[in-house]
Amino acid sequence: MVNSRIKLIAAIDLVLAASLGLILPILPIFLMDRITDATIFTIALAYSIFLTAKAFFGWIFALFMSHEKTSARAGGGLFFGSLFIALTPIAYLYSDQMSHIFLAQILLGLGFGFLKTSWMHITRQTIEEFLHETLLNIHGYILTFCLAIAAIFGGFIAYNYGYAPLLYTMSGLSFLAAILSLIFSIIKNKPTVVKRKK
Amino acid sequence: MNHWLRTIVQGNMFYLIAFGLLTPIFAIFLIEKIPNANLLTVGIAEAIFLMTLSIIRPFTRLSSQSDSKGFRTQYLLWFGSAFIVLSPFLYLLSRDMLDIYVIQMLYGIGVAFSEPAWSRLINQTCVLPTEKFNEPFYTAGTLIAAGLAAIGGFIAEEQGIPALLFYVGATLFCAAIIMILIYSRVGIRRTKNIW
Repeated sequence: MVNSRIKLIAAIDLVLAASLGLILPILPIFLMDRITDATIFTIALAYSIFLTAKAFFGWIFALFMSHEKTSARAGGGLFFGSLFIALTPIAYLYSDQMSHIFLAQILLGLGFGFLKTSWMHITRQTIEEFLHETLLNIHGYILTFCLAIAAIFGGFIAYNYGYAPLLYTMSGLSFLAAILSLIFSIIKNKPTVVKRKK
Repeated sequence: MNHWLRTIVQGNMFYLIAFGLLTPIFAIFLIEKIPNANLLTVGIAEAIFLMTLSIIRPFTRLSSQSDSKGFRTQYLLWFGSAFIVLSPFLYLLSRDMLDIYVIQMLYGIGVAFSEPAWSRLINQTCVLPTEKFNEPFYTAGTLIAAGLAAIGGFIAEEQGIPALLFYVGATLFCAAIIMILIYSRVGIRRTKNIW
């Protein structure tokens, strides 16, 4: 019932969620520690910029995808979205002003906008309709658990080894998701065969 | 749009408002207020909330699916809303990371209990195909949360984080009352048509 493409698309989402979940709870503390002109307002503004960019670029990409070659564009969105998300921790690491962080947040929003739109389209194309809601619900539960584990690991790595290893780990996981998205585009879609008892 | 659906969405906006105000700066609040807070304990606090949510959510959804009339879901909504509304005020009273862990667990239980009621309301009032309906509201919700994150930061900067927590608690209280009233009107399957 669940073929390799479905497992791969779920894995891509889980890996990216783990990547973001490492830093998300402690990003405000990272900004206060590392950025000289960080205040509570500018940190909240950075978060706000990320959400706005995510919504805006997701909408733009959905319009772009809907014109022609939807599947190919969705595959490209998955890969490039993962790539942009992978570059964001590097931007965090080398930022020393809030303006740099704002640009990094726009990059992160761009990546997630592309990724989310592509992912939703691909899951609708890959998963059969009668399984769609069930699998998405199960995926949601696993995703929440994955975010919880990532939050603990993120705090552990940051507390014991510092921010640099944490950000490199985040970047590495996102590059892994980009590689998985390339593999996904190679695997052909085989319709699942439901075996019936005689 | 169905006018009940519009009311449900507006009521749920209050929840988005409350979450959007607090989420970006919760970690800073912990570091400033709690003496033994550090990066590891902040990560553990977030993990406790998410883990509680991931463990309890399947059971509450299953319970709601087998609830034909809707009364069990309504009781879950009452308890869930009470836990959610209490959380910001309990944050103000907390003195130790252990208090924060317990409050995060309570908050996770509250969210897991409340979610099935919202899903049930949407399913019973939505007349459009789900796919076409969800996307614009998701985008609008994201943009509203973005704006509110900035407002939350401004309030915290000017008046302090305790004041922000108080506003969040008050907003959650309004949201809970609206959702409970709407659910009692729309969510329960009665034998007679009340419209």
